[in-house]
Amino acid sequence: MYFELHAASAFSFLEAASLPETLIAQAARYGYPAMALLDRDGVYGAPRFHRAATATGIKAIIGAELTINPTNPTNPTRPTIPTNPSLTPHPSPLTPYPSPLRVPVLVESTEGYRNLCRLVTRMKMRSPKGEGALTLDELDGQTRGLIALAGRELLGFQKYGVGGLIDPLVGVFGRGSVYVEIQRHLLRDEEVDNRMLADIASTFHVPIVATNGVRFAAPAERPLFDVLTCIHHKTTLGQAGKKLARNAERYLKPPEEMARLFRDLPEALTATEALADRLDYTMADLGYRFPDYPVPPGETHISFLRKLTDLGARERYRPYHDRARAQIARELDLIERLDLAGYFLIVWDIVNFCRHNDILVQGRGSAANSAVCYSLGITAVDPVGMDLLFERFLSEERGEWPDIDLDLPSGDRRERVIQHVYEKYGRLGAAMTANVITYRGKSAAREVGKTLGIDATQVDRLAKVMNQFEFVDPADTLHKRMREVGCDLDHPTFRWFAELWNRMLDLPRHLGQHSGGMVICQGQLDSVVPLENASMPGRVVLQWDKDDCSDMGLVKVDLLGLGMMAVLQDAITLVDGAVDLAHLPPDDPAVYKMLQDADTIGVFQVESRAQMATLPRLHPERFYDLVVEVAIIRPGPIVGNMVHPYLNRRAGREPVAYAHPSLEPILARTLGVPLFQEQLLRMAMVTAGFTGGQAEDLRRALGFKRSEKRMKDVEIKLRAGMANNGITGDAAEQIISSITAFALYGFPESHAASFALLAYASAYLKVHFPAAFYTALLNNQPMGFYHPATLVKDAQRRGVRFTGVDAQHSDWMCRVDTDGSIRLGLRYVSGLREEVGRAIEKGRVGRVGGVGNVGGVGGVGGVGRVGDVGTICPKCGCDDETMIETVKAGSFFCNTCSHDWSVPTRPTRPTPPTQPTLPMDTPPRFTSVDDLVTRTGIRREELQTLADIGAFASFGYERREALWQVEKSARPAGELFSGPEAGSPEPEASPLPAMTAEERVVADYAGTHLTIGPHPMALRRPELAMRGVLRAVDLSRARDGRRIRVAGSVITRQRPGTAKGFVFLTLEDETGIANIIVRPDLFDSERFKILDEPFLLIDGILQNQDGVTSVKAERLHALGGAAIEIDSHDFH
Amino acid sequence: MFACLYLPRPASSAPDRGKTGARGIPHATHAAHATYATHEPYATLVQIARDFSPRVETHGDRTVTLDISGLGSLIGEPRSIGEELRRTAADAGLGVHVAVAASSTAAILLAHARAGLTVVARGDEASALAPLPLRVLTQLGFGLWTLDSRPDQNLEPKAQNLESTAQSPEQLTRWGLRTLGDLAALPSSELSARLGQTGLRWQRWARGEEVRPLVPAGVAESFEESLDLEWPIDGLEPLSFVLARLFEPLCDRLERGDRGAVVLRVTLTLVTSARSATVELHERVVELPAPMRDARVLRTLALLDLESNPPPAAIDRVAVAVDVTEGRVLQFGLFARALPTDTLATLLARLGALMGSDHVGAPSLVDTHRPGAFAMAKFDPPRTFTIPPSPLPNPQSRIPHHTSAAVLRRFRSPIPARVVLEQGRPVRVTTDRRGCAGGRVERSEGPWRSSGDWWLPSSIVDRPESIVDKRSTLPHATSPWNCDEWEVALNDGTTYRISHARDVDAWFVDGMVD
Repeated sequence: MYFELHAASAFSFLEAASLPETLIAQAARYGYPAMALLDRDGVYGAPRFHRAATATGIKAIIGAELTINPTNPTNPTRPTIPTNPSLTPHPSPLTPYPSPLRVPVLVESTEGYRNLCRLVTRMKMRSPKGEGALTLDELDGQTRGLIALAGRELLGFQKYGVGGLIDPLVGVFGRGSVYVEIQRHLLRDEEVDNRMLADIASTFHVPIVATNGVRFAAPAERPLFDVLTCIHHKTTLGQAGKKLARNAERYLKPPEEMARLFRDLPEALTATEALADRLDYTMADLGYRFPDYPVPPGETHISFLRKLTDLGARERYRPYHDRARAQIARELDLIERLDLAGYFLIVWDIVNFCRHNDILVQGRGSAANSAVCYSLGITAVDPVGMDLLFERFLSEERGEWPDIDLDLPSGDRRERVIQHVYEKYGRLGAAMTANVITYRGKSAAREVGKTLGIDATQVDRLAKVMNQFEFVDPADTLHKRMREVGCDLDHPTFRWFAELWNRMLDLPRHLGQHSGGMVICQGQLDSVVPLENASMPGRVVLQWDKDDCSDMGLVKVDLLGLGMMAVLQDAITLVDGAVDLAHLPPDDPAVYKMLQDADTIGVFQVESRAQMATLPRLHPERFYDLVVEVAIIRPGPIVGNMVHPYLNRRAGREPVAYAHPSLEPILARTLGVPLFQEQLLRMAMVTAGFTGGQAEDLRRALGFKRSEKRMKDVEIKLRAGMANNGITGDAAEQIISSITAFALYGFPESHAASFALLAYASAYLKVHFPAAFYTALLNNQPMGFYHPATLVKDAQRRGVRFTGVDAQHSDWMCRVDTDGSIRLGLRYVSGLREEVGRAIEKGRVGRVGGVGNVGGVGGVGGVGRVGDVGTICPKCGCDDETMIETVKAGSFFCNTCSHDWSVPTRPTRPTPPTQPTLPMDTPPRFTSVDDLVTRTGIRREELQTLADIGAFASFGYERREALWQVEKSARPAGELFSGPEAGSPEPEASPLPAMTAEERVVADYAGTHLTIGPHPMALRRPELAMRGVLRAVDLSRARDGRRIRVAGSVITRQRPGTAKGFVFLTLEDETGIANIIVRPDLFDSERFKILDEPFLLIDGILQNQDGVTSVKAERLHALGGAAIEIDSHDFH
Repeated sequence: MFACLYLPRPASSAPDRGKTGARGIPHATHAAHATYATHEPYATLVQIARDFSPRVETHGDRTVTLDISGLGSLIGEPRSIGEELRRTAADAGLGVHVAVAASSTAAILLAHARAGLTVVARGDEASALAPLPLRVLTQLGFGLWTLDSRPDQNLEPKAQNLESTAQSPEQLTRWGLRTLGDLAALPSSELSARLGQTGLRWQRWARGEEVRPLVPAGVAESFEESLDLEWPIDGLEPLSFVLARLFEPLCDRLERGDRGAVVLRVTLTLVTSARSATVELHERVVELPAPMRDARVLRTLALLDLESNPPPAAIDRVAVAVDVTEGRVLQFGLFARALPTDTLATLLARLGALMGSDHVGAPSLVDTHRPGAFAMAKFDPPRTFTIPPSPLPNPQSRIPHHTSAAVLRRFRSPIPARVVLEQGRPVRVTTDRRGCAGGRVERSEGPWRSSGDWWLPSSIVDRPESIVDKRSTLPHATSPWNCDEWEVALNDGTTYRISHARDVDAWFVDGMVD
């Protein structure tokens, strides 16, 4: 009997073409009792292989192909040719193998597995990502429990004598732990080597074993394997030549075929069985243990946890009522029974670290169902008060570790927490979970297209049409899409493209880093799973993703970065602690008014256009409404058709009804409509008699869409349970359909409540401290739904004043000035290096000497001062100095109404930089542009951008004047003219014309991707008004059903999976935003216009219902003319 | 005074991408004459300019400037000269823009910017140019650049200048300048302080100042000879004499001009029936392996080609033309003689004429697993002969010095065979080829399997015999392959390599082991 002991999966990343599950399925088809998986330098695919094998009753043998660099022991980290040596054709003595080589090793015992993990970790941790090699010396003493397979690769190393490296390998692994591996792929030179290998095996008294070096499950996968080889070598199929496989023989062959191939070497076949029997190790027990929390003397984990919880509960529950006591006692008893106290203490410890270091932290997810978590300060939602279901978090039946997610401010603060965990548990005791990046529609299209040698433009177009949006039109076949971009499937190249693209989807591409999952281990994590460096400095990742970790029993704590947490913390800092998040007024009417008006740009979770369309209908009046709002715009309620019933019942248009009277206590709060996962669980518990754990199992089974059998089993159980309780017929069907439709995408109530807290806090800040809120938002971009340009315009509409980027005043980050305006930060200047920006910021120190008349207004440059002749707009009367820009000497522009005017009495010459327009109390950073250039090392292009956006206004320069000046400053004058005395004491008058209003907007977008000046649409308003275009603000006043015309910059494009092909656009003009609905057929005919045009004019029918306005588009026109590139957020 | 003739591109035609650089600006080239044959209207334009003045300079492939000083006494006022130029061009079917100005710079800019005739009085250049948009500078990156450079500069630095020229007008746009007048009005010293000499050059252009003298281009010489025959000739032998008479003066001219022929074109006008309205031509093009100017060789090559492709009727007129290149320089060494390349080239040309040019050359290895694949490379022996060192044994080598490696002699094309199998192994091989009858298999090794190029369209049809054609063109194989190879020792003592095309189940004898 033959056993395949050398197979690699797609987790060898570009060196094999089949998933572990596919290999196992094929092995099961052929009746293999056991099979080994040896991926390159790791056990990346081992959990999936183990899981699939266990499910099919095949013994999963684990191993790896180790990269060894025998010829360069002094530099083991830099393999010279990281290629695919198993395919290298000629290990002839005349052309020895280049180092490094691959040595396949198989795990015999637990000790062997640990050694393998440690060896791989050692290799990976000292090397950049994707590289690394071991030396033979490093293997010495680390190979107990490992079996090495010595193949033809080892013959090439002549300097080690007869047999190449086989003898040294026997020395390292021991004679009993080395097998000579013979493969037969019907290759002439391979057979020559095989004879040599057989002779060497006989000489060294080492047994031979047959393997097939499997790289794919079936011959049909060879093309994909060749494509992966091309990607690996960055070449095309036409140019790959001998890098490609010589034939398709590296597939998993039936045992009979292997028997035929090796009929002259029967001992090589029987050795596979003997070796497979010998390899006892399975991954069932990895020896992983969660770390112990050090408790005070005399305490146990549970006793200490009980005490801590009690203390915390007294603090949280005032009064500490009986319901809370009972719930906490129940939870603690369960925690004790499951021996999870240590886990809660560790999480509590991390939360404490955050608190001590002023890092905002909040537990979310199902942890918020736990009163213990609430008492310990891990979560902020009271599960007792909100009547949340504890079983959603933890249950005895499931026997799983609880999953606690901690939300932290994204950025540096989260990194501090992660580094704290590394420090506390050691670099080899904690690691981030991996994220296996797989080939998706676009990436697969790009790679396959390139390897097939398709023209780059065509590849771009193909990539663009592959999975453009989340929604997939049933008629939107691959063929149709390819035809759209001019690719004929009758052509063999495109036929291959279609097939290979399909095969490549979901194949692992490379290993990324999970957003926050951290695994902590008692002892050495590198004995449990190999660790490696992430691309990000200071991060260590393990080789499995979160699902694999969960399957293998590794416990992770999610330390998730949440942009809004950072915004909240920054905003609170900006208002100097004037807000305490823990004690916000719970029912602030202004906050609810804003939410009811859907004025929620920038507000956490309720800023999407779908949320904004629901807010006026839902009309939130209290906190629980906000919880519902957060949960209702989710695929679960939408797919389950629960949104409209809920909104209608809430508006009184529909009576509240229940599928069965027993559901009333569960669904009363949501008016008889199930909206949360907890309700689903309770429904199963009440109607079908499920226990909490069984109900959670039900949710998981239904959520696991791939297992239809599992879903059917659960459904049968559910029906039986309901029948027992007398619920049959329509009521039963209704309950089952709402449960099944909902389970996949439902939102836990606890999670919604946690998010609602953040949503309320962000809304509160937006209403009461808008400057701080928007500053924090701008400083934490990218995040949220809208681009900074939209945030700035939204802030301006709420009365927040902005001042532009200024080299004398701006810091790297945005800030709130003493007058309450937001000063844009240098971080928004396109192309400005951070080190230069920081240097400009630091330029504030000293340099006051020599500057005269710092308090003088100067009359030119910068923003005019209130009280000046020119600083009150004669058209709109605006006297906001931040909105009135001095264009040129005596010329002003009002950013509020786009009016420009001149005051003839103003001086016409620019004021020299010795009279900058700085307030008395603000010392200038730089005496001149030359000074700035000298002290910051700024480059010419950066200077030009700063000049273009008006960042030298404080030097007394209008934008073009500044440009004229910086062109000279940036040009090296040479030694002769660069001395201090050589410079001109007075800057020359600029002969360049001042920028027009439109030019300024264009320059703003080009230089900062936003403008604090007029919206581009404001500049075109007279023309648009003549064309009958309504402003966004006018839409709410127009009659429902009226045919209207609206125009704006496209700030979002969406095609949600739940919207049956409809596309939603958001247009922005100077007065607000307009929602556009595009029919699928219109989208098909105007696809490129919709996707590419930055400004659109829409003719359509106005829908104005329940305070929600939208325009159903009938015709779309590109609004050309402006050279502005608008950044939009497109959700595909 | 200078006149500029500009031939605008037809509105419908896209710019010639083949002649544009990375930034969409035409590449600099002085060899405008070389393009006469392919740019007929332009050649006409140049010819018109030459008819008016011997001092003509070409810019790119659409613009010609000429010095019209002194034409006044012949034609009249500058306007009259301009009108005459325009009329002449119109008569030739060319709708050109014409500009006359005291500086060639101004003339070029105006010709590009304005249709019809523009005449600028001396001293009014700047004011005439002032309203022109700045983009004229971008469009004229090449023309202005050639105005500002010396003809003796090599091409690379020019290309770099071109890059900076291409970027500069964008810079000026950023400054808010819209017209050449805006640029001209800037203070020169300030402009220099910011953009250096480049900036000053732009400004001089914008002001219409002359930046360098006109550099007249030489007259292009065409190498063609033809002969109208008094009576038609039939057959190659009489044609041989005619060709000799044509090639001798042609080769004399090549010699004088230090040029070598690289492509030979023979055009024979055939005798047609009286009823036929059209003239029938028999045209042959022979690409020469090396530049040459030997009349005998050229004649021989032309005749060899015509032997393979004889004219279908008697010949009325014979014309020969050659595409030329620089004359070839042979470098002799002190100790080694240069190879007689003329002789070799002639030999190769003869072989090429006999076998087809793609059947002559040196075989080279190809980066593929395809069995027997090779490519034909140019036969290019080393310039000098050296005696290879004797293969002395290396005492350090582990490889035995005397290896009696078997040599495989491949058959081109493979011989179709019939193979009898037992238990999947060949036991008898027979063919229909004389001298390769086959026999019983005494010993066999294999199968050795290879497959590849699966992404190429399959040209395999159902008939196994068609495979022979496919396999006979191995160097140019453009279809997938999937075959097993065997080495078989037959009872007659011969050893063959046989192969099995698996897709169509056909067997071949690929070669013989010597």
